[in-house]
This record gives sequence, structure tokens and C-alpha cells, in this order.
Amino acid sequence: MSDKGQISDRNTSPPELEQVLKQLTGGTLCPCNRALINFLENSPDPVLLFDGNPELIGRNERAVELWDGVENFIPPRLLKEVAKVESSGESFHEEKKDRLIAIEASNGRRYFLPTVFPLIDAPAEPENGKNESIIACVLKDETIWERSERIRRNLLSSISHELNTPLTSARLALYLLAEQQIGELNSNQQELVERAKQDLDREIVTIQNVLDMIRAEDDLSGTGDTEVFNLHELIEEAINDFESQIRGLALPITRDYASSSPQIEMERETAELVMHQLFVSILKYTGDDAELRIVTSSDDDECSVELTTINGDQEDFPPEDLFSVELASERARRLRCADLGLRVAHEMIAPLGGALSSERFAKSGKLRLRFPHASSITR
Amino acid sequence: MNTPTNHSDPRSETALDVLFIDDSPNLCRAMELWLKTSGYSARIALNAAAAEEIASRETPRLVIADIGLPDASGYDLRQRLKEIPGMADTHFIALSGQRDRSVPRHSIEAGFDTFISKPPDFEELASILEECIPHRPGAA
Repeated sequence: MSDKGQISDRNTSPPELEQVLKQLTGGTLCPCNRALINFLENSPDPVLLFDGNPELIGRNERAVELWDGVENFIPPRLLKEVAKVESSGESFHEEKKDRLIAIEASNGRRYFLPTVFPLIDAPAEPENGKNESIIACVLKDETIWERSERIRRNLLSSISHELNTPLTSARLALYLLAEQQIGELNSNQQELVERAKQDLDREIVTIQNVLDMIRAEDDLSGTGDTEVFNLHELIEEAINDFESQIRGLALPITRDYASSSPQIEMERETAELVMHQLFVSILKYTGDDAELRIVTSSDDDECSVELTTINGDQEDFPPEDLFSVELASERARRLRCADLGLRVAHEMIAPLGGALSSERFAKSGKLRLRFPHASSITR
Repeated sequence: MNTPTNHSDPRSETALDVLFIDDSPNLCRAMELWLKTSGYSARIALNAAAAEEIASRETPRLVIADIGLPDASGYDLRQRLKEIPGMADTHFIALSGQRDRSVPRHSIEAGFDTFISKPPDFEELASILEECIPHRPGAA
């Protein structure tokens, strides 16, 4: 049917494309394709055209400007999306700015939100076995947004570091003076130091609240992409991640996995983070001669995992009131990282309908994590 | 803070108690004063390279390291120090002013035993020191 060599790989002018489209469609263009040709002509965004293989077969003038003389500039992720559109026939539009596609251009790296759609559907039975579909990819340039976002994040990180380090040395200096560790103070000096310490503590709380608010705003802008995955795989991945610590403790692990294959549907990163916190906490409290027992269960309503350490000394296991501690409280600040991490994990999973709990027994401690929206698929 | 000497520690009584690493000279000096007046032998380092040099000579019992150092991350430093002979039992505390939730997690995953936010509660820090290095009066 067509000779794709007619579409220049360097540039695809609208008249040239129109001619090829006419050949492909038997001489007539549907209104939709006419509109697309107009769009290509007027688009300020770079547009790439792919065949069904998918290989680049053309681009508009903006795309030529950006990738003039650049070889193999199309990243595998974009090619994968093009292939998916080609096989499904359904358009793809990336809306989330945290999933920008980076492409090296002749003037440096640029960031895009792609929209991929079939321009011409492949015939059900292609002639000569050739796939004649054409896929268009419009790349919305978000480079300026990406740069400003990167600067904003770096600035926040730097502000946090730059504020907290001098606050620490000022607080320590006042602490040393107030405790009279480096010499005695008279009553006036003591009063001034105490007042300065109180003011600094108030300042610290205000600054931490502002930084926490900014951080919370960043946390809320997560991808929101959920996926279905297997609970047992998640546990085994966590065991692999902590392999060296488990080996270091010579910790035997017994698994009592549910016979069904428990499936979880949520953001994978959140699930991994929560599972990591469970292991961090369990490993912290695991003593000599202990063993770790992992039990999973699942039914239509629930999908959960229990991690139990069995040994004779559980005095320091996470406190029973851990999950009621206010995160901003003095008590929370005093909690060690593993405990606070567990509390944070609880905060992350509770709004999704899950729950994390801790129990202490005479010779063992148990952490139980119930995942949200569970279902069970029998093997 | 007058706990008896830890007789199970195989290291010499003259070994360094605490190595503190931070790129702020002011914080280093204040921390050095505090540690020494609290009875600990202490050394300070302003970067990872200096920390490695001190650690390889003096095998500290406890290391407190900032995560954001000028010549390496605290995570990398933790790995490098752990490989120094005699430091397998050293307790590592990560200290960071960054409020990002991932920093404590990465610290623990990198092998730090404890994570503390800046500015820390010094009474809490004192109790951790006391647990790790049972006090030796007059060690300063």
C-alpha cells in the first residue's frame, strides 16, 4: 500500500502527511484526520509520528528544532507507551507532573507530559504482513515547571538543614550555660539564659511546624497510582531487603502463609514503606536466640500479616499506647526512630482503611498489619 | 549518669568514646564542650575524610554523624566507618536537620542504629550516650 519512505524522518510537513494519509486511507481523509493535520501544523508542542513497530517516521517543525542532529533521543518509556497505544488502539494521556518524561534535546535535557493516540488504526489483516498503523505523540513541554519545582525542593531541603543546624548549636550552648556545665552563673545571668532558652524553644516549635506543613503538602501530592500485588511477594521482598541484618542476628524465620494468594490494591511504595517499618521495628527488638514468625491471612474482608518475635525479653517492645501518641507531641519526639517510624506507618495506612497494631506478651511481641481493600484469589 | 563501667566492652579503656561529625564548626565546638564536660572523651570532624582518619586511629565507641556532609553523605560514611577494624560494635547515630520523612528510613536502612532530628532533645541524647557508653568519671 504505502511507501513509508515518503514520510521524512527529518520533518513531516502537513501537506506531505496529508498525501501519505490519503494513500493509506484510500484517497479520502476523515474530518478527524484533517483536524489532526491542522493541529500538527499549528502545534507549538513537538509532535512525533511512529509506525506500528514502533519506529519514528516523522516529526513536526518544533520537534525538529529540539532534536536536530540528536540520535536515538526517544526514551524506552515513551516507546513502551506508543507500543501500548498501538496494540490497544486506546489513547494515552499523562496528567501527573511527577511522571514527566525526560528527553535529551540538542539544547539540554527537557521534560514532557506525553499524549499518545492512534492516527490511523492498523488494518485487521495488514497487507504483506506490514503493520500500517500510525501513532502520534504530542509532547507538552514542562521543562520550566520541572526546573522551578527542583529549585523549590532543593531550597526547602536547604532551608530545613540551614535552619536546624544553627538552632541546634544555639540550643546546646544555652543548655550548657543553663545547666552550668561550663561555669557557675549569677542569678541575673541564670534568668537571662532561661528566658533566652524559652524563646528559642518557642522559635524551634514554630519553625518545625512550618517545615512540617510544607512536608505534609509534599506528601499529599503523591502519585495516587494504585496497583494490585501479592502480599507474600511484598513480605519476601522485605526479607531480602533486610537480609544482611537478619543474617547478622542469625534470626530463624518461620512462615505460615495463607493458602490463598492474598492480593493488595494500593500504592506499592506506601505498602513497601509500611512493611519496611515493621521489619525495622521487629529487628530492633529482636534479642539473642529469638525467632521471627510470619503469619498471613486473607478472606474477602481482610488481608493481614502478623510478625511475632519470640524471646524472653520484650520489655522494650513498642509501647502499647504508641498508636495514640500525638505525632507533634514531646512524647513523639522522645520515641526512637523505629517506634516513630511505626507510628508514621500507621498514619499512612489508617486513612486507606488499614491498621497497624502492636501487642506485648510475656515472652513475645507481635506487630499486626491489616491492609486496606483486600481481596483473596485462590491459587 | 553514674552507671558502672561496662566490663563487657572488649576495647581499651583509652579508646575514644564519641566521634561527632558535622560541617558546622559552631555545632561541633558546642558538642565537643558538652561531651567533654559530661565526662566523655570526644573528637570532632567537619567532614567525612577527617572522620575516617580519626576513626581509623581511635576506634570510637559511638559515632554521631550529620547526614548532609560536604564530601560524602552520612549514609556512605556509615558504610566506610563500619569497615574499619575494631568498629563492628560501634553504635551509630544519624543526625539530620532535614524534615523529609524518608531521611529517618534511609538512615536506618543504611545501618544507623538510631536517628535523631535536629535540634535534638539533649536529655534524650544524654540517655542514649549513657546506654552506649556507661560513664567513666574523669575520662574527659
